[in-house]
Amino acid sequence: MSRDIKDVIRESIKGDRAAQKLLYDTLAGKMYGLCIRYARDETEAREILQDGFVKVFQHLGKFRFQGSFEGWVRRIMVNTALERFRKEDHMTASIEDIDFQDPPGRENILSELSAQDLLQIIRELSPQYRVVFNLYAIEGYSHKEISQMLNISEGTSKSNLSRARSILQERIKRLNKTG
Amino acid sequence: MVRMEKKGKHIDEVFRERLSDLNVTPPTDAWSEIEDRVHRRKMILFTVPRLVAASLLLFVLTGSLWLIFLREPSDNGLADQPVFSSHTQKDLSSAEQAKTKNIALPAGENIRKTARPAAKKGSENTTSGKAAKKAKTTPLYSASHTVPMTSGISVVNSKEAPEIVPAIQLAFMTPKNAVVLYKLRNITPALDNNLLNQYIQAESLPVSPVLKKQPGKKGTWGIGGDFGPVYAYRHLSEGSPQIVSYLNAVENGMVSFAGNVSFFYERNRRLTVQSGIGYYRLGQEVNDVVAFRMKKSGELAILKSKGNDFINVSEGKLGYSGTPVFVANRKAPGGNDQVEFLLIRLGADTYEPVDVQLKQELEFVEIPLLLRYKVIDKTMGLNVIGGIGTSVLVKGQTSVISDQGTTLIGDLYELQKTNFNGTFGLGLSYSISTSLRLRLEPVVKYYLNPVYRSPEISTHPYSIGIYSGMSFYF
Repeated sequence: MSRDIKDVIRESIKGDRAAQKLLYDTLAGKMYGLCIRYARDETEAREILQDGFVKVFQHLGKFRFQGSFEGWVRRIMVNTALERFRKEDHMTASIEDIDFQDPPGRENILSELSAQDLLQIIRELSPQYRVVFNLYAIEGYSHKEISQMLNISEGTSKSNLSRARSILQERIKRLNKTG
Repeated sequence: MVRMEKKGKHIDEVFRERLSDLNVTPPTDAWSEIEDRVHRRKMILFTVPRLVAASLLLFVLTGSLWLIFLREPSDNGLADQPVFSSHTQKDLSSAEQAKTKNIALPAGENIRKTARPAAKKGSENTTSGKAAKKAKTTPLYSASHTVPMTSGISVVNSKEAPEIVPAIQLAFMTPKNAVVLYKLRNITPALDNNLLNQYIQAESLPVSPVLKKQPGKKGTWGIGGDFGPVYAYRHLSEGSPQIVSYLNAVENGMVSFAGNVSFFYERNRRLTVQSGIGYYRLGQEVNDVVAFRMKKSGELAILKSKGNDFINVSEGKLGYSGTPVFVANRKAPGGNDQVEFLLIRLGADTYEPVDVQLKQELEFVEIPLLLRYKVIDKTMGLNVIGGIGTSVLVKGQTSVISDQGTTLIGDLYELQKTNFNGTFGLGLSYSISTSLRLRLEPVVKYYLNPVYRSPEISTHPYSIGIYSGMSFYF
């Protein structure tokens, strides 16, 4: 961690608005990119971002200056997104009656898609799949960790991940056809 | 299986590479709200206990003011009261001959007579303007001049009160309550009317119209009923500004109705206490909803928000219980289906979207405790009404309004059952007779506690009603 960012954090802890704004400007783009992956739309992404940064500044004094500050903020953002998700109680929903088939693939289609395309596809997932896919595939959490974070079984986490992947493949295929 | 696993991991990698550090410019005004929230002082929120305490305090203060300024005068306060109307002064002259009379009282009743001390100093010219004027400013009696009585009411004799006015001016005292006949406009029910009538007849006294029973006399009871249309909506507090803004944009108030049956206790001519039982149907309409009509059957089968698949409402959580299956929420209680997947499963050739409205209705039964203060005390009167009420939610349900009519789809969940509200209003009243009054009253009712609370919002229903009704006084 650079000396500069530490100074900015310390000033922010003291309530210096300019320092807080600087911290926000430094991380807001990346954090909004994270939020938008967990949210169903821009409005929700903005709310997660705002709620998350309010928590960051309220708890900034607890940051021990060990490890990455960006990683600390990122965890707060993920937790904020999960809090909203848990409140809406998505995990108990079931779609057992829906048959998803693994589509025959052209994996190389993936390399042709832009980040915006991928973002759009991931946001079209239902919340429980979107969250598990984000946590596992992008954030790198294990199924055990995800099961604890979301209060679900590891089996459910694996099942949701599998179905999320299937849906993503189906959407990518459809996107390719229409494109 | 191995192939699927590999493919899955490949997808994971692609998404991770492209999205893990994705940098997206946030909305430009996002910071200002964060800054406000971080730095603003915590607002002192009116929680339910505080509101109840405030209401009770208001009630106590109102009662105290009433005791100080508005209550019926005791014997110590008589000197400040007007003594005669011009009408009674004229009538009294014919009864001036009454001097010392005895009228039997019910057995055991202990009544004292009093004579006003000023009378001893005065002359016998009691009906002159001078005497009447004097009577307005001089206490009629005091405790030091009470004379124990054993078996009846006596007109104060001329020796004790040489200028004594006719019987109707006499001051009677019962052990519990001073009843002052001279105060014709405020004769109290505590006075034994039979006794008074006996005396009036015995003396052939002219009876002034003001002696007739009037509503608004101290201690009068009455019953009545009111009914009327109300505009019902809600106020959102303690919420996420974005959610509140969204809900305010997509929800509207609705016209409904309410009514009550009440009993009244008129403490005096101006102040009335009211209670009873009322029924209030409140609620709202939600516009951000689209239904999917099955092409084959024409039935509305799926319901979702226009913008999202989640229908967000401010008055409770939606559920469904009707047939055909409405999906009124992402996860409906007792149901498994989800809008997004149902639409995928059904396919666009199966359904067509139709604009609809949701109607949320909350039904309350309420026991109010209201105070009415008569600002204008005439045939056409004006009242100020205020108080609190306890209401119980008896029903919360949702209907869909479409071109096919109104369809009940299910109940509302997670609503507060017992609630407290505050009431304020103005009331016009018209006295048809001494016992019957008509009323027309615009009244605002606001629920002090949130009837529904979620992490994003707290919902306080309110209503603005124009009630009409009548009341009958015994």
